[in-house]
Amino acid sequence: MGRSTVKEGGGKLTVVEVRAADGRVASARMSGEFFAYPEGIVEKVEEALVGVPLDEEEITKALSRVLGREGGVIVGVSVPSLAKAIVLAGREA
Amino acid sequence: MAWRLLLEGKKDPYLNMGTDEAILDGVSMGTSPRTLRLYMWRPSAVSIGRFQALEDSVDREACDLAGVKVVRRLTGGGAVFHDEVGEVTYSLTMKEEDLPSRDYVMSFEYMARGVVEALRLLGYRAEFVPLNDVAIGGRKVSGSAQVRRGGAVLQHGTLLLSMDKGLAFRVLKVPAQKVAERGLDRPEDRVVTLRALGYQGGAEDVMKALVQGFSSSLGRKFTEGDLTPLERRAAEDMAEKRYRSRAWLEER
Repeated sequence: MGRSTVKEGGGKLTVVEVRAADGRVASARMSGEFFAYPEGIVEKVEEALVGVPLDEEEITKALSRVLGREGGVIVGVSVPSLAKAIVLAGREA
Repeated sequence: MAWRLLLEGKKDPYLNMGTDEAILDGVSMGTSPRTLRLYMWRPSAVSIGRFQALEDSVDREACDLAGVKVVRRLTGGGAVFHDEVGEVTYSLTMKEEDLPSRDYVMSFEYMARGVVEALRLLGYRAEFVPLNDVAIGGRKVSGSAQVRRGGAVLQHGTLLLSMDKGLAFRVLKVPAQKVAERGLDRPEDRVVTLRALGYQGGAEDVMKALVQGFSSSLGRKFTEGDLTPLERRAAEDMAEKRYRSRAWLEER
């Protein structure tokens, strides 16, 4: 399990833990001091990452897709920063 | 329905959170009025954010030793120490349609403005610090957290009259990143209480100021009221089934 922490200026501390398999996300968990809407969105984001290649562009697309589909918003960490952290965590795993 | 003011005394941490959730559901369903609730905690507690990893946020052993309870909030945000003696907490619940805009970031400021106003009434030049803090002289005196459900929005937050800082920073885990970001300031120095600023009033005076502050910032008059029997039951139910449960606390 690889782990990476994001703390953007003015943002909220966010930790991602990723298990990787064959260059893809096998499982992911986000935790931290951010806010997320609607309820249940974080679980949906974590599910949507499973199977996605550990590539910033692919991860960004997957994040944007699930957030767009669910009308979800994460306040305190940006999608690009989150994607970067997920890839870092996955590569470390 | 007139906007309701609930002036409650000290409740246990689980019931405090259960009550806030019961009001959120009530406002969502239309069975509860928009509500400003002011309350305190007994015993002292650490509340952690909805999405925080328990292990990363609080020292449970230190809490056990000190008789400090640990509860996971419904709202996001970080770990907060709720001092039994010195913290006055607000929770403000309204419908999303009552907010001036659809912008999530701006809603934090709008809903916390009553705290800034209250401090002004008490003689302090406080300012809102995005995302969700209020500070006096650059030191944090209040923090807020928010959740939305079924067209309703609940924001609750702290206002520090006084705090046992030694205890607070023994039980909270301040992440290395936060410490590093702010240089040589110790975490405990970045937080200030009204007592430390020379304020001589008590919790009741602070509550009076908060009522006026929110009334002014929202342009609303509040009518003092009570929890309905439905809310009371729901609050106790939530306290038992959610907030006291290990599954909820250890979810993340």
